[in-house]
Amino acid sequence: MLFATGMPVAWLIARAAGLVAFGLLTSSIVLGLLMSTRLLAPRRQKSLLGWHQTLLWLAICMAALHGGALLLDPVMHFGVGAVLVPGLAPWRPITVASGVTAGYLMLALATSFHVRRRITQRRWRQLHYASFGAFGLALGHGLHAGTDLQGVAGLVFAGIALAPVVWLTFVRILTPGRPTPPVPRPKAPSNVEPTRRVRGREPVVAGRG
Amino acid sequence: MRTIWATVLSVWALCGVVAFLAWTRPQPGVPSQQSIPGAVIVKGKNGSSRLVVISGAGSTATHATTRTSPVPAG
Repeated sequence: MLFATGMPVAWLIARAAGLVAFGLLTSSIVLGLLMSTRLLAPRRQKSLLGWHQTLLWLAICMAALHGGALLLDPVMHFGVGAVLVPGLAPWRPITVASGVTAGYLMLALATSFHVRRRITQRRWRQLHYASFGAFGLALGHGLHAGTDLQGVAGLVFAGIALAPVVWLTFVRILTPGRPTPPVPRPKAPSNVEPTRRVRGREPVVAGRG
Repeated sequence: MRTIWATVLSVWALCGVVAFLAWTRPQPGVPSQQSIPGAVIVKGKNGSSRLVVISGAGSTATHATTRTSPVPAG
């Protein structure tokens, strides 16, 4: 039916996938902020972490579908380079580049969950601040490059997406962090030199290579 | 299980948005603006002015097929 009426299917899928990807990214960021602010019960943290990662990966899949559908759109004439390399797009290169960069940031964030043990917790946390950049770039991309978010619709959409993120960010900044419960460590024997804790590094455990 | 549920919901959301965009898409052949006749003043060779009325019918036909598709620059 869609093909028979000359409906631009690729264009519709590209727009819808972009909108859904942004919704999934926003949901993932809100869940991450909910975990960070610890507004919910601690027993839900593990479940929230799983949803946080799953929604981010789904957002990446939808962003990939967004780019793939644009390749098939006969009007836009986007090539592979325009979709993958920021700044090569023939149409609104800056705003399209912001969307491509947001996609790469999302990919880096999602991958960081799996290499969290290899990089230190501090670096993982610093890398996680890039989620705000990905959110801002994706929102700017949607508002300036998207044809569905022009005028009042764009303002309403941006307000709905921004409100929880901004509110939870302020809560995160203004609320003092709870002290993490101390991890019980086995008492070291008196003849072993106590471990030295270097700032910014993991503690060096004596006797391990 | 969580991944399956999230994927199914995301695909349903995608289908819903596609359906909504297709439903709200402007139909081709329906003019978006009412045709309004216009008038111009044409000066002749001898300096006399004439008022020429231009009929609006057919002159403001819209091409709605690619209305929502931005045209690439260049």
